[in-house]
Order: sequence, then structure tokens, then C-alpha cells
Amino acid sequence: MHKVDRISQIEAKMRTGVLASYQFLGTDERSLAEILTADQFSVDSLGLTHQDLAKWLTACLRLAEANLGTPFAVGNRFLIQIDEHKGTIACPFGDNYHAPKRNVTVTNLKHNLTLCFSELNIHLIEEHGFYEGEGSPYRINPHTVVQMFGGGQLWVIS
Amino acid sequence: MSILISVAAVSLLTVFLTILIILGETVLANYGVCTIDINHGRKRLAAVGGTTLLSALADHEIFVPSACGGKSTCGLCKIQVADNARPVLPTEAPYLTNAEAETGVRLACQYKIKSDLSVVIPEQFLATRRYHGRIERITDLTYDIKEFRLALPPGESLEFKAGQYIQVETKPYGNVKESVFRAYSIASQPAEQRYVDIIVRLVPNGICTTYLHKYVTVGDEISFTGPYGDFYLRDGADQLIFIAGGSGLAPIKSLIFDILAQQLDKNMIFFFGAVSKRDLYYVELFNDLAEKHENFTYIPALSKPEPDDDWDGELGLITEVVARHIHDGENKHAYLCGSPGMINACIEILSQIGFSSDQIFYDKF
Repeated sequence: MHKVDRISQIEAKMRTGVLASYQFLGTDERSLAEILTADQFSVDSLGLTHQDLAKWLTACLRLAEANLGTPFAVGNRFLIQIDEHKGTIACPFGDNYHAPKRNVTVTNLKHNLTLCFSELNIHLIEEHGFYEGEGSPYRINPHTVVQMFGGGQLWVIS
Repeated sequence: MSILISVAAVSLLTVFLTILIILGETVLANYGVCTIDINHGRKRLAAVGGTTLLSALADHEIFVPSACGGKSTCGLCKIQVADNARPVLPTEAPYLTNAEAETGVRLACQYKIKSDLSVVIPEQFLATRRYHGRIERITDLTYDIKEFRLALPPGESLEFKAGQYIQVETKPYGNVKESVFRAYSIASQPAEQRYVDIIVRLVPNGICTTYLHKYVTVGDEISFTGPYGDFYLRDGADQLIFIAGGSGLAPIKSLIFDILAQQLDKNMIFFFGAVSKRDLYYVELFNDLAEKHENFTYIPALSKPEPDDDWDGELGLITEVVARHIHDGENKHAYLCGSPGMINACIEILSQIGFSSDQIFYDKF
């Protein structure tokens, strides 16, 4: 299939409720390509890679899953909780990846910052450099991830 | 200008080729009427060639479980093509183990019928039906869990085993343009054939749970198929350990009430794990049951009660609580229902206690 058609198909899937009741692109009027490019620029400007950010989120997920939904503190820096549901959700990029329906909420107690992400978010960031569109309930700003885990606090998680 | 012309030319070519393929499928790939043999002659059906096994079976009121409605995104509709199964498609591959692929297991939604074929499906699928029920009652059980009573049309009944599930079909709503199916365990008892109760926890932004929690009301029609599943009472143990969390209480409730109604000679302990008091429900119901029946013990446990919960019951992760009360697997069966993480953790702790894998039962949706 033509690459442009393929991207259009993915974008169409992201603007309707085919895979979830929300839209992956949220209310963002930018095209998928524009969103991907802008976030790539953000991550580059931070001197990081998508895989770096995904690694931090994965570390939180691994810590959280052992606690079966009970909120727990990591030192006096973070409060982490996993919310797990039955079933899986498919990656909208059509790579046949299915993420378990798990959401992780992390609170940085020092900076009073909260970040909520899904297991699908991690895959989307790591494999596709996709942080979802503005207005999506699962939009992740790369700068927020760095604010959350950066600044010398990363060791606590990783 | 030349770029625009190129884009237009490519687009036209794509449309032309697509039409050509569709015409080719229709005219050249005419497979006629094919025969599907089910379970070695148990049933034989006629199906129009070119359709998928999933829809051909559904046309004959045989409903193979499928959560995605045939889009190859759930991997639930596995059936075995008995001989000469065609190679696995890329859309099927992620859902099939090597052993399954080698023994002809395929996704019914992806397998197009092109000639006569034989399939093997679980016998229970032949007894499934589609029902058009009506929502008779909606009860708030917690801040994010509701119970729905689905009344069957007059004269119809649903025969099922305690612990089994149905597949509820959503209608398009909001941004959701297509129907989907999702599995929900039956919370009511088999003796109540006039209705089924299901317990639904709201999944943030989930298609079906959002539909049920926010878009339906009492009196609405709701379609479902079933019953499905092999999570039901097994022989071989007199002591039964039930462990649940969240909406996983549903099939456990059905099992416990059914066992008590049948006056089976079983000793039962029900562990229900929650974070804080606001996640608990049906506490009075099970406490009353425990008071009335010597052979039933109810142990709710909180892993992190709120300061004002005033909780003097069991504390800790459900796995810790189970380990405090159960010390061996002798003459015991365990039935688990909850999140995949909870189920995995419980399997691990039960194995350490001495349960073998054939003493532990659970549904993996």
C-alpha cells in the first residue's frame, strides 16, 4: 500500500472510536505527521530518545504491577498506583501489538506533579514516537516526563 | 502542479486497482456454496463461499466468542480447521502459538471459506444463542462498578452453568461508530432463567464499559450471546477457595449461591480483595450468607484502607491474606476472578502453598 494512504488510514482510525471510546488524536487539528514531527523535535531538544522516555515509564509500570492496585511510595519521591482491567487494546498503527488495559498514575511528591499513562502509551512512544494528540486523555508531553523523572531523581525509578 | 498531477494519478490508479480486485473477488473468485462439517459430522452447514467462518457460523446461530466483531484485534475466535488448513495470515499470527498454528487452529474472523471444510469447535458453542434482552435494573455498587439486570423476552430462558459468561453487544454511540462485543461473567444464579445479572467496572475510555455506564438506561434493549466459558464448578475437592477483586466478584457470587442452593457438601472460603472501603460491595450480602451457612466463610481484605474507613478486618494484598489462611492444597480447588495481575499473583502464591495447576481455575478474558 502507498505510504501516504497507510498514514491516512492510521490517522482515520485515530480520529474515530474504533479501538477506544476516545480519539488518539484528541481535539488536535494538526495532522498525525505534524504531531509526530513536533514531538520528535521536543524529544531531540531534550537530548533524549523516545526509548529513554519509554524506559522510565516501563520502570514505573514494573514497580506498580507488583502491588496489585495498591498505591505505594517509592522513597519519599514518588507515589505510584496501577489500575488494571481485563482485556487488551490494539495499537492503532496496525502492528498487531495488543497492550493489556493497565493505567499507571505516578505522583512526584516533591514537585506535586501527576502523570497518568497506559501500557499502550509506552508502546506508542517506544515504537512509534507517538505521544497522542492534544486533548486526548492519554496525551503525554515529553517535557512532563522529564520534569517528572529528571532533575537527579531518575535513579529512584531506574 | 506536477506534484498534484502525480498524486492524482497515483490516487486514480489505486482506486482503479481496488475496483479491479473487488470485481475479481466477486466474479472470478466465486466459490459457490460450500459445506462446513462441524465436530466430525455433529452438524453440517451450507455457507456462501468467500465469507468468513465467523460470519458463516453466526448466520447459522453458532456464536463463536469475538470481542472485536471480526476485525482481528481480539484473537478470541479461535477454532480448529480439521484438515488442510490454509497457511496462517499475518493478521492471525500474533494470536496463535506455534502448536496452535501447526494443529490447524485459526481465527474464524480471518479464515475465508473457499471450499468444503471440517472444523472442530467447543461443543458448548453449539448451544449458544443470541438474546435480545432489556435492561430491567441498574444498581450502583461502588463509585465505578454497576450491576445490570438484563431481562429476557417473555418465554425465553438462558440455561448456563454458574461461572459462565455472556458477550454483550454495544451499539454505536458518541465517537464510536461500530458495535463491539465484550465478555461479562454472569452474577446471577442458573436457577434464575428469566434474567441475567452482570457486574461492570468502568474502564476509563473503554468502549463497552463507557457504553453501559453512561449511554444505557432502564428499559433499553441490549443484545448478547452466550453462554460461554469453562469456568464452572469441578468435581474432586470438598474445600473451595474463591478469590476475587473488583468486578471479578460476579461469577464467584453465582457459584457460591448455586452451591448453597443445591446444598452441595462443600466448605467454601471467599476472599475479596480491595484497596479501601469504597471498593467493597455486597459486604452485607456475604456476611449474612456466612451467618446462615456454617460451610461458608467470607473474608474481605483491604490493602490500604483510608484513615476514616475504621477497618478492623483483614489487611494486606489479597495474596498475603490468602497465605495467612490457607496452608496447603489438600482436597482443595481454587477459583479466581479479577484483573490479570491479581490472577497471576494468586496463581503464584497458591502454587507456593501447594496447589497444582489442575486445582486452580480462572477465566482469562
